[in-house]
Amino acid sequence: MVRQNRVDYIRSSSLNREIVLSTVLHVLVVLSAFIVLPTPEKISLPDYALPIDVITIDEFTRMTNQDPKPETKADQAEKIEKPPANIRQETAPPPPADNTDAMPLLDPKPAPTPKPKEADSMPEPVNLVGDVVPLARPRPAKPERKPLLDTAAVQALLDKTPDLPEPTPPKPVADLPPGERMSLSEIDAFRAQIRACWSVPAGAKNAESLVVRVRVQLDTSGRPIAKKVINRAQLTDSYFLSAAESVLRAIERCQPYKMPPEKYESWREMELNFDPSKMLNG
Amino acid sequence: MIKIIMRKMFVVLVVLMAQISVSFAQDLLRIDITQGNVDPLPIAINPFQGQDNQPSMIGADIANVVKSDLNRSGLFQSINPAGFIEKDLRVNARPRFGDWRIINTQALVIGKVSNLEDGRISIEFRLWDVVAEQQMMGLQLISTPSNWRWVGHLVADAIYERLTGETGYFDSRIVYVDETGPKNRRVKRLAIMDQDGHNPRLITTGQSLALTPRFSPTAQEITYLSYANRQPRVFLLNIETGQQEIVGDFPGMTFAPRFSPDGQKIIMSLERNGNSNIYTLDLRTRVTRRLTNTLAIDTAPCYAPDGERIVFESDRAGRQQLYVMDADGKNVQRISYGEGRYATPVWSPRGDLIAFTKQLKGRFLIGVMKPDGSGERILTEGYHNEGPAWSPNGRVLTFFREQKGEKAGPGLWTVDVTGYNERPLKTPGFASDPAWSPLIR
Repeated sequence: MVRQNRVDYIRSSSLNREIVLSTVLHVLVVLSAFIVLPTPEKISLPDYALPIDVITIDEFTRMTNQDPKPETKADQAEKIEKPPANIRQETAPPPPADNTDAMPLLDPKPAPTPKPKEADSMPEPVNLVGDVVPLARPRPAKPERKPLLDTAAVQALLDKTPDLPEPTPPKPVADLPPGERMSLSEIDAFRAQIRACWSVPAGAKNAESLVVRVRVQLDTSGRPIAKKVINRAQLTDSYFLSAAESVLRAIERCQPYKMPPEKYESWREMELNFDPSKMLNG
Repeated sequence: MIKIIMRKMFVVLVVLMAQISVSFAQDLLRIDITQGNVDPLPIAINPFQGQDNQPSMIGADIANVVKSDLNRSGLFQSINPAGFIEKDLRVNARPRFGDWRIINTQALVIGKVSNLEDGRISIEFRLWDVVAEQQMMGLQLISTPSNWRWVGHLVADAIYERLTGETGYFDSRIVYVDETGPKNRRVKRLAIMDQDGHNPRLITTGQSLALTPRFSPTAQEITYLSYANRQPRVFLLNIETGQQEIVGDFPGMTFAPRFSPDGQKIIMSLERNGNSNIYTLDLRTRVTRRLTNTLAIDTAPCYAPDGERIVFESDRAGRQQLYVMDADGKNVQRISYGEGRYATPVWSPRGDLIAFTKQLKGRFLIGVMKPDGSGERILTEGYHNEGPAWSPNGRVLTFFREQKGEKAGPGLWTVDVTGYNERPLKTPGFASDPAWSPLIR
């Protein structure tokens, strides 16, 4: 596109001075971009293996250790019940309006003091069995909950982390010759592919804090061989954990990625920023 | 001449910056992904097996409750079991993930029910991430067999919490006003049901008009208005024991009582001489306190979940609009500035949004905005929508909707806070003014 613009420009103006000026400005702009734009923070990735922290059963079920409190739960009556006909006591007279009510608002003659009293006492409450159908039911005990601690098989599963090849550090993209860099349309195609597989945690509270940064390593056929959440400190937050898991699932589900094979050096490792905050204006 | 150069520079700059921001000038190719889909997550829920891996009636019933809860949330889509490839699943065995990926499942639930010697049942289940091939959760619940529906809601809550990161809301109930009789002589009684519409029951007899029930955020207790002998009174009702008491017996009109977040106070509006102001009533000391003092109509107050601020509606500036003030009545700020009238504000239990009813050009809309008034979004609109109430996790709103016509009556609906997944909530008769309970656990 830049080249095309230049050609148009030469054709349209053909003033050498402007070409020189333009070239100088181009160089200046490119240089200034390198100087002004911050270099990315170096993130050391000691391992490429563990995709996400395994959460033990215990952590997710810690609420189960609370003492079960007996509580009533609606039973299984399937139809709406008519209130019993024998509620005669509901004619219990409503308490008469109590004139001792000294709320300032209700005083027919407001006191001359300009500021109304802020607090006043109310009449004692009256118990009414009155208009209500009691819900007295056999109180079923609340279900007990405990984590499913179990078998060696599951434990073995949890420990089963696949061995991944230790990658050689990729060449900085900036060092690649232009022909080996991904073009904008190739990046867009990749974006469209992964977008289709990402179930966004829309409607979550503070969606703007749920940006998941993942470093992904692909093999030459476009299959992910390792992925790692970079901002993993946030994984302790349950909202973020769910968002991160949705991202890792998306990366797995859409493989293999259709990437230009001749540009493997530029996409063998990428950093993807999944940002759900723009999905809703809320 | 200079203009041409400037324009040229601008084009070059834009092109270069676009390339740089996407990818280069980095060690790594860096790509931002800001769009995805909001399709529900495909989940496979197997009927919970019985002893010795035999089919179990109660196990199938529990799995159905789980399925219907998760489907109703709109965030999940349970997969039809007819398509399951792997059969004979065991709760303590690793499933064949490939079989589940073929049918496009992302999460898998396998459970079993076993009978204990004391007559109770034990329910065990595991939730698997089919894509990552990892267990996400394993849980055992022990209860009496008659509690199967409750157990189902608890299982659904656990799965919902693990997969969304939010607290569940399936183990909760909704109280509402049941309406019978012709339009001009409606009998209005309080009724209560599980959040999925099961187990509906009436809780008042209809001798007096019952209105605006509101749940305590901390207990299975409601406050409501009852009109006996044309006298409105604020009642407090324990829905488990049926015990109730009058907490306010004010000459003049009382409106919109609602609990404070700690359940210790009731906030409401009292009307006198055409003005209405906002008061709190301490339930222990029975002391009232006046918070606003205007000649306008201030009503429908609702606390923020932290108890530090209050949102209410007022016509002090002409039309009904929403205002926020500190809990002591100071620092009143108007937050709604849109067209139309705003009413019945309700602060989300999550704290991030305020839901409201909006009247605009003869239509009634339900919407949400941030507590500072920004980010207004309309979730639903129609001839008559009113009375939004939040689910205990602040994710779903229930409200009532009425259609035009003599014979039409109100019914309950739910909608996700994103505006997706609008659904009717089945009730035995006409129903209005829903209020959502806190979690029962």
